[in-house]
Parts: sequence; C-alpha cells; structure tokens
Amino acid sequence: MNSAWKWIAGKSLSAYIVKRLLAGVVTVYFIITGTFFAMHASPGNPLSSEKKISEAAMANLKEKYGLDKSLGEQYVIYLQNLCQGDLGISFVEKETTVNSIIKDTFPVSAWLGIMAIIWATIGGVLWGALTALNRNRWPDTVIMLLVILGISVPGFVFASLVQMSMVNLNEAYQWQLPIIAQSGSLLSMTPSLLVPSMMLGIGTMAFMTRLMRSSMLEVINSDYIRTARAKGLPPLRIFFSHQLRNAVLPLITVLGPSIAAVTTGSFVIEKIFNIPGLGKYFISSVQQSDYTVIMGTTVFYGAFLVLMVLVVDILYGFIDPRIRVQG
Amino acid sequence: MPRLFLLLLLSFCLSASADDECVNAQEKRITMMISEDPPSLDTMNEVTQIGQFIQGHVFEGLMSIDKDQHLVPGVAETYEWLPGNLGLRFKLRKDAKWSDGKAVTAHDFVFAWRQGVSPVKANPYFFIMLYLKNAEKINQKKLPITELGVKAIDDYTLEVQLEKPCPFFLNLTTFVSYMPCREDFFTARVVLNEEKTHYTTMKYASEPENLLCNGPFKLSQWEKRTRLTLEKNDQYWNRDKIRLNTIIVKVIGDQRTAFDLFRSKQLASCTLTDETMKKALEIRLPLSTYADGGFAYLEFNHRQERADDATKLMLGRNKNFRKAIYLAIPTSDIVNRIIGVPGFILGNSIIPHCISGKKLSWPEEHPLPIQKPNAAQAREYLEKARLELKLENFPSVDLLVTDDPRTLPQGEYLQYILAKNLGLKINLDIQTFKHRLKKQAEGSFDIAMTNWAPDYDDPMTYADLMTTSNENNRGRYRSPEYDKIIADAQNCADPDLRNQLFDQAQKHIRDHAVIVPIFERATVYVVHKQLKGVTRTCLGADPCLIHAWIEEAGK
Repeated sequence: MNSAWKWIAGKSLSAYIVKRLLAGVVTVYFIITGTFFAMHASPGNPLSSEKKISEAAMANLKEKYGLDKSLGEQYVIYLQNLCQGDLGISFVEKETTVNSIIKDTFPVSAWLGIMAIIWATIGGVLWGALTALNRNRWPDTVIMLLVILGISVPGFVFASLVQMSMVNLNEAYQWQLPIIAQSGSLLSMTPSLLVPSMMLGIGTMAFMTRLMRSSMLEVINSDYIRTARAKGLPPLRIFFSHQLRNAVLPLITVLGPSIAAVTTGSFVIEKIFNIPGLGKYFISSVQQSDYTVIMGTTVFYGAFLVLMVLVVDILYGFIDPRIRVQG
Repeated sequence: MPRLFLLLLLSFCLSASADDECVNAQEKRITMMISEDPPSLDTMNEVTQIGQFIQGHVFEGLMSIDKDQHLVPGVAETYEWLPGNLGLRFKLRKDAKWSDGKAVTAHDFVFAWRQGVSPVKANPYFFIMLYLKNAEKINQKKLPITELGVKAIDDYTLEVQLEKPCPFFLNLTTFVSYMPCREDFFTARVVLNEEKTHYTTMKYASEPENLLCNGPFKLSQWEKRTRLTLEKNDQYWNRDKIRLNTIIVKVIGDQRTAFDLFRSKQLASCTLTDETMKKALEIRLPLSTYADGGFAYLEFNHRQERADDATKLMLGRNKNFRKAIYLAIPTSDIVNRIIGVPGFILGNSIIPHCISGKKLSWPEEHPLPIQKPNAAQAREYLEKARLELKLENFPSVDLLVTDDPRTLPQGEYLQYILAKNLGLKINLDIQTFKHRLKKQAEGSFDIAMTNWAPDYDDPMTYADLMTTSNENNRGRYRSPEYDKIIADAQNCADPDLRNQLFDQAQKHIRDHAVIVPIFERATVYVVHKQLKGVTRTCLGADPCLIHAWIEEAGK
C-alpha cells in the first residue's frame, strides 16, 4: 500500500494521467463528431411523426429546436453547449433536459451495475479458483458446464425465467416477491434489485470464472508456489497471498470495460424488471431519432468508458507493484 | 451469511407489500399502468396516446363524453349554433373550477386556443385547431394571435368563429388540444427569449405543482419514470359522480412484465400482446377487446416517378394493377391466420367502424358491399395491366413494411400470396417506423403497409386522407373528382347530404382501388374482476376511468 501511494504521488504517474486524459478527450471528441454526423445522415428526424404537419408548422418547430440552421452551425452550437455542460432538451420527453435524464437514471444503472459486478467478481474468483484446484474432477466439470451455459445463453433469458418463476411462486403461495424494481430511493430499491443484478452479472461471472481458472492453473504450476510449499507455508496462506493475488490480475484487466458496460445500463434487464435506468435511453433514443439524447448518452458512455479503462490501468499498480507505467 | 440472506428475503417481502394491492375497495384506489412517461402533459403541445390518458382525466373541455360514449356538456352548460353554422356560442357553467378553487372562465379557453395555434408555441398538433377562423394564417405569422376566431364575450360566454362548416366541432371540444389553460398560471412558469420568438424555459406541466387541472382528477404526484398519482379533484363541479379516489399509474416499460404484475394482482388492468394473450388464454382469464381505431391498408405509390430510382416503372399508377393486388389478397387469412387476435375486423371501407353514425357505427349505417378475394379475376386484371403497360414480364415490386414483430409476418405473407396468386416478385423493404414514414413521405416505395388512427369522431378524419392537399396522403393519390367530393363535404352543413358524400367517397376509393384495406385493429386487454365501468376508446382518454368504480369483493 505504502509503495503504491508513493508511486501515485510520483511525477511519472501524474504526467501519465495527464497524457491519458488528453488522449481520452481526443477519443471522446471523435466519438462526438462521428455520432453527430452519422445521426444527422440517417433518415428520419426527431420532428417527423405519423401525422405529417404543414410546412409552416414544421418551420416553427425547427426554429424552436434550432434545426433550421446549417449542419455545421448546429455542430458548433452543440460543442459550445457541451463545453458548458449543457446536453440540451430531449425531443421526446418534452420539458426534460438530457442532463436531468442522465442525472436521474445513471445512479440507478450504476448501482445495479456495481451490484452485478460484485456478484460477478466474487462468483468468478471463487468458482474459478475452485475449478482450478479441483482440475479434472467433478466440481471442475460441473462448474465449467454451467460456465458454458452462462456465456452462451444471454442474461435476459435467465431473467425472464427467474421472473416467471417468481410470478408462479407469488400465485401459488400468495408471496409478495418483487418482480419489478420498487420505486423510491436507491436504498429502498436495493432489495428488489438483487435478482436483476444477479441476472445482469451472469455473463460476466461465467467469463471471469473461465479467465480465473486458466490464470489460476498457470499460477499453481509456477515455481514460486512450489517454493512456498517447500518452505512449509500453510496452504491457506499460499492460496490467499500467492495464488489468488497473482491469478486475479487478468480479471482486473477485464473489470474496467465490464464495469463501464454493465453500469451504463442493460436495456433488456432494465426493461424486464422495470428499472428506471439509463439503458433504455441508448436504444429508444436511436429508435425515435431523439438527437439530443443520442448525443448525450453516447458522449457520457464514451467518456465513462475511457475513464474506467484509465482507472483500471492505475489500479494495476496497487495489485501488482511489478507493473509500472512509463510516464 | 444465511442470517443476512434471510434478512434480505424479509425486506423483499416487506418492501413489496406496502401499496401493491391493485384494487382497494376501502380507499377506492386502483393501480394502472402506462408503458412510458407521458412525453408531455401540456395540452398545447404534441398529443400522444399516453399523454391523452392522463390529460383526459385531469382536464375537461367545453363538452365531455359520458359513460355511454355520448356527447354531453362539460364546462359548457349550454351551446347554440350561430346562423349559417359557422360559429357557436357556449354558456359556461359557473361552478366549473380549477383545482386551486378559482373559476374556469371563457378567457381560459381563449388563451389556450391562441397558444395552440401560436407560431411561438410551435404546437406540432396545431392542425387539429385549423377549424378555428384564421388559425392557419396566424400559424404562418400572417396575422396577429388576437385574430383567432374565439372570443370571450364575458367571463361565462364564449363565442367561436369557424373557418368553414364543421359539424363535428362539438366533438372536437372534447379533444385534448381544446382544453382550457389559465393565463396567469401559464405565464408564471415560462420564459420567452428576448426576440419573443420562442420559450427558453418551459416549466408548465413539468411537475404536479406546475399543472392546473379542471377535470375529475388532479395530478398529485409524478415520480419520473416510475409512477404518477391522480387524486379525485374536490373542486370538480360533478365530483359526486366520481367514484374513485386515487388512480396510481405505474410506468411499466415491458408488456410481458405488466402482464406478470397483473397476475400478481399488482395491476388492475393491462393490455395484452400476442405472446401474453396465449398465456392469458392458457390460464383462462376473461379477455376483453375494443376497436382501437387503427386502420391498416396498403398504399400505392401514385407518383410519376420514384424518388430514389427514377427508372422504376410506377405500377401503382395503373388502376388494373391496383385492382389485381386488391383482389389477390385474402385479408381474412391475414386477420385470422397470421394475426389471430380476437376483435380484429376485416378491412373494407376507408371509413372504419370506430367512427360513429347516428345510432350505430358509420359503416353499419352506410354499408359498402364486401369485396371477396378472387385470384382468377385478379389475374385477369393483371393481364390487362400488362397489356396497357406493354410489358413482357412485371418487374419486381418493393413492399415497404415496418420491422415490428406483428407487421413483419403480414409482409411475408403478402410476399407469398402475391407470388402465388399473381406470380409477382415482391421485395420486402423492412424499415424502422420512422424510416418507413420517411421513405413513404418522399415516395421511395411501390406499395407500403401503413395505418391510420383517427383524430376525431367523424368520417372526415379518414376520408380526407386521400385528397391532394392532405400532407398525410403519402402515396400522392391525385383525383380532382375525389377532391371535389371531399371539398363538398367540408363545406356542407347538412348531415344527411354530408353522409351521402362520404358514401360516394368510400365508393370512389373502392372503384379506383386507391388503397387496399387490410384490417381494423383491435386491442385485447384484461381487467381485475372487481373493477367495473372502465371504458376503452380509440379517441380521448384510453382507458377511461372517470366513470369506473370498485365492486366489493365476493359479489
């Protein structure tokens, strides 16, 4: 811990972070530009509706939303507003800003995602270690079979099945299992998010189990473990401070993108369990050509992903002091 | 660990039981659902089905719809047509009040209607207000807003001037866009930009405290993306007739989840999809259906050339080709075998059954003979078309369809049946809803599967679809003869003569095979057995709970 703090305070790291952040800004800028023009190039616009309206009325509407200006002008205005942290007003949810949509829904998605990641990581590490330690014996076979199932069957299939069983249980025993997320604060929502988060984490857990198993096998057969055994260390200590710590590294690598992917919301899981999260907006905004929401969610997700990958790279230093980034 | 788990399980149950009982006879409270937040509750903005459901309960117009679907006075106590039927005078009731206790006056209607056509407010649904005198010119910024044909003679007398005869204007006053809005309340919640060209801040209708209601219910809570609560409005003049105290409206995005909630007794009613309907039949739930106004038809491209491919032969311009398509499609197969949902009606006339006549539905009072599909006759027409167009073989035909799970199989069936009956090669052009509309509007299709929902209860809402001036005539059918029939009807104040003209119109559409009617859609739903008096309609608040009540259990 101590060495890591020193390392963080070191000059090389801050230079590294600045460099990475700048690169991140450039990445996000390209995401913005790409999305902006691709979005405007695709057919349909947010003002089109089933009932076509007269040209004068359409002109009034376009003026209201600033769509009467040229694409270049709109792009510049968008960037200006973005620099001031203003993502605009949704075309679909009228009178609602995109900022407030993200502010309201992201914490829910993030909390669900964090719960899912916790399930997935604990499960992945435990099952992975268990299979590696029991290599080619029955626990290995059974768990790996389940892992294949978890990777190949999408989470929403499990989600629907579990929800259906809860409905049947409710019907049969007059239970009150929450089949959808409860409303209210994050805290009051948490119990009803347990099952959805497990379903959301299944894929990641299966993936992590496999990763953990192979990395654990490698560690088990390495020289330093043999040395540790030879010098008579207790097996539990070997497991926790040598095997686990070394084997868990590859998991940290996938953790960054997984956190970003899982916390920014799962469209399907959120829909099935009626969770008021951000995931819905990724899909519905594109379907409805809701320009500002498309941009807002993409920019937000892009920035979040870039940040998460950076955080994970820095975390490496804590887990394994052998890895040092060149500033 | 096990103890913790038990604790969690316990909290599961506790957190769930609080308000999940969907029908509570003591507190007269029910729980309903909507699939997403209302995009807007501002009545001077875009009208959506979900918005209308809430707005229909919290607002009341000059006229209102009673429990038997009849037009009755609402805020207006009496009305009289002005000479020439180009205007109306309404006397408002003095006991109509806003939820803050102040009286609803004629000025509130004048203000709301002016906003509805104002270029500053830019109301996408402004076309529904075109019947008011000068509405169009005001929207085009050619006249000031004060020139709109609506005046408050005094606080309780409202005079309306119409642009042209509009025998269904009383029906229109029940429509969301014609609801009142009080000026001082509105202006306190909006900010105009310096040039006074548009609103920079629009807080009106964004929260319960920013919405002033005059209907049977008022909005008491709106937790975005989660739930809305409607409470009985104790200022409503007819409050003694309202038998529910609270309507909780949950936002449930997934229809299957909604059905699961209904089965768990957490929702009092829900609409079924094809998938959940099977399950509902399996567990023997009593199903109800209603005609939701959706009218599905095939639209031909009548343009001179295709927007995306000028070399393409415009088959839709040939009447015999259109007739061949019309006769080759057994619509009963689409309705009974492909869709297989109860309540659907075979498409026949351009004016469907959801439009009311004097006593029965309009098509029942003015029946159009049913056109039976006939493959042999269809082939004869196709041969005629081939000779007229001097073709060896027909080129492939693009059929534009929306990529939703219900429409797609219909498109595939049409592809199959037209190949089988006519030997035509059909390319399915599968697009998302908005892209389908765009391609249709610009004319990049040969035939499109499309549908139309009514805006008001009058044959005109469907009949004027095929006129030259209608923007929604996406196939660009042009016929001076048809335009004349509709123009005559528009300028006609005599109901019988008007109905004759509509009868002519539906015959014209049939004779020229302008479109191929496929079906009139129905929606299937389930209701909790204690909840009575729920009406489902294709116009206005749907479902309507204004006249609903809860029956005691065990009866």
